[in-house]
Amino acid sequence: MLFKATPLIFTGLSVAFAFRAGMFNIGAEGQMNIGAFAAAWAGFTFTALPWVIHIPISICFAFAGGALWALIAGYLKARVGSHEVINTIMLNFIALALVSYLVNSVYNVPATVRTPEISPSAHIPRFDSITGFFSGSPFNMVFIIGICVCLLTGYIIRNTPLGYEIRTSGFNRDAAEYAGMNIKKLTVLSMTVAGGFAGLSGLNFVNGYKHYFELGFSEGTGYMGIAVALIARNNPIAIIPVAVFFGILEYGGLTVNTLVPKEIITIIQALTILSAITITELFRRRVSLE
Amino acid sequence: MTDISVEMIGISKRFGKIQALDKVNFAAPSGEITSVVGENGAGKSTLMKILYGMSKPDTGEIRLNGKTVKINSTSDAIKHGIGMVHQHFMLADGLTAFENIIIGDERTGKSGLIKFKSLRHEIRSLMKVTGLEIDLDVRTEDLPVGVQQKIEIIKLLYRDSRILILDEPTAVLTPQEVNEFFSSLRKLAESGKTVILITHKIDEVLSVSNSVTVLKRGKVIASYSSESLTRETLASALSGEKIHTTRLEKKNHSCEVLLDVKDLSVTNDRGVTVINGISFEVKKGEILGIAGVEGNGQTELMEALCGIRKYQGEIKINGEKPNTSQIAHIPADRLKEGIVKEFSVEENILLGRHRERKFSEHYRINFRTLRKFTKFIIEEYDVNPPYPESLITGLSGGNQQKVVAGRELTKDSTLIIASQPTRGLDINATEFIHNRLIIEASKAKAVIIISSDLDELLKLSHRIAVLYRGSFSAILESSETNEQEIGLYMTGLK
Repeated sequence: MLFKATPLIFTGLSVAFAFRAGMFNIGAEGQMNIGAFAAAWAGFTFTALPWVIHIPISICFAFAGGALWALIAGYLKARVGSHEVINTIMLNFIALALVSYLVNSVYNVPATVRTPEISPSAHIPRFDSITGFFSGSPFNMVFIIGICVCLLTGYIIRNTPLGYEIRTSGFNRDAAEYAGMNIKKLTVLSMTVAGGFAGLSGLNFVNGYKHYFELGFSEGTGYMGIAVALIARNNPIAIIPVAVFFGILEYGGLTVNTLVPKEIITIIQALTILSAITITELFRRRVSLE
Repeated sequence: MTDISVEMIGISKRFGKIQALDKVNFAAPSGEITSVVGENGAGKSTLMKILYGMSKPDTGEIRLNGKTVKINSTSDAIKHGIGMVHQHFMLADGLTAFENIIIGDERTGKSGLIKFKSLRHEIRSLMKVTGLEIDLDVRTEDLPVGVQQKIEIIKLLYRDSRILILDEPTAVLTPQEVNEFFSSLRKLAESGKTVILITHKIDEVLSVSNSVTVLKRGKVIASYSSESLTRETLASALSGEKIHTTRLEKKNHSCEVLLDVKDLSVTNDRGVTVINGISFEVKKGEILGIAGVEGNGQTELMEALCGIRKYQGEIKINGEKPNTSQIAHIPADRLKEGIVKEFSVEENILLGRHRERKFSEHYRINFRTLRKFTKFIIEEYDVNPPYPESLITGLSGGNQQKVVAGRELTKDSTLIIASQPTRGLDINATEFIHNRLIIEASKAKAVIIISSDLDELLKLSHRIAVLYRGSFSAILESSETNEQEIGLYMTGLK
């Protein structure tokens, strides 16, 4: 359950962060694939490193992979003004094709659609191996990283001049420009960081669970991040409980998997999300009318 | 007896905690011009929006010719013969005047095609009757605003509107255009139309309207018929109390040049040159007014001076290239450029000043200093309600403008550029901002005021430059000129 919530924290945060800067990041799916592959590559390429170095390096690679991918979309928007929704959707296709090529033709393990396993020094430990709680669950320390990143992002957005600039540019670009802010720089920066967050979500699967990169691992988590961000009203802290709620839905689906058709589960999940969005929206309107 | 065309009885409307309208009674007889006046946030626009179906009243009823009607949408309003010209015109660029008039009501013949010929004929005769003559085949974006306004009115007549609501119609017109406009309005009223004028200019009310309704904080505080009305009674009814700020007089300036602009050319977003090689200078302590019909390059000139638009030529402050932190700027479009609606008052105070040392240290915003400073501005600028943490949109337009002015004028600047600094403000707020600008100029700063309110320019500035099609058609000493002369330069007639 919390294992399922972990990647949603990152993709939700990614979408929310871009939203705060006035952009719609549909590309979390692609960024997360690139990030996950980068983390896997760092995992199986560097083999002689102690874990204290290898794990941070893997984290950096995951972030950098997603960030680089989103940088393209952000740069295109800032430079030629092409809309980030189109940019990120197209980059999703390219990202999936790219990792598919890399997995199938360059780093292939025969008869599979996955990369070689990463070195044990890059494994991010599971909770049950450290604490004894959550035994049998692949729930791992990436969740803690997620919480830290959310808290840090929340602090930056709220309390720093940079965060203030990001919020301003997200609400009112003209006012931001008149106030002397560099909109283009902010656009590229926010998109890049948002991509980095999405990239980190690959750690959960690659370093925390299977220890390799496998095609199709993301299962739409990037898109689900949009719903998470919406319900959390783009608040980095609120992302955490909302992601956990979505994790519960996913997990519940897996539990009753043998009893009901998969489609029913999907429909129920979708209905739950729709109702949650509607209810929060209605509630908000009630409050604002008050 | 004239039969009463519009009656609004006991209209109330609440927005959240604010009672925008409180049991308002309003009547506008046909064949007359009725003015609705009041300060910012008095409820004028809300009342008219209710009549035009853009907003629904909580209580109260609307009667047309004595019959109660329900107006749930603008299309209902149009069906009942109500038409409105908004402050910002709703014309489609790229279409001709004729096309703009028939848009939304393109009458077709049996063949299913638009009856161009007979429609054209119909519009021609409308123009003849009302005296609103225009060329039907010119694209509207090339026409001056005065003509665009005529198109808007003809559009309403074409739709057989019998009740015409005009929201601040003269804000964009030159003095000559205003006179012409008023005579057309009188003609329309004589032909039996009901004309409702929303305005806050006392002179307009006195010169055209048959009766006046004064709103204050959502209540009707007075209704007059024009015969019994003098300037003084209306002015004191409008401000509620006597105007309480004493007017400062502008001071003499030094001869030392502060801002020096040479051969400045600027292009707009579409790459068209809109400022065409202008040169001017502003001295220390001087207030330079820039007059001109909107859209003659004011926006681009101001953006170039502020350093947010590329330009050719030379801009120098005290002989050096300007640094944006030296410039304080009150933007023309407050909601779009001056504030962030989603922010609180204090977050808006921070706008553009967030990198100043006193507000940010060690990559962290110093909220305590900000709170203190916001309270200082609230006190100094008399902002109401006085809460730093309340949302800026909870304030009336005038108070929002005070926040913007407070933020900009307390900057450690050498040049102040104020675009339409008092647009839409009531008398007291206007006086207040005017005094502030005079005080800042007296600190040996240079002040540029871009405004379409000639009265304001004549009162505040030492010299007035008139911008016409991207060049200065004249730079006049304001003690030696008047509105009429400036108006002629504005339209390129002189």
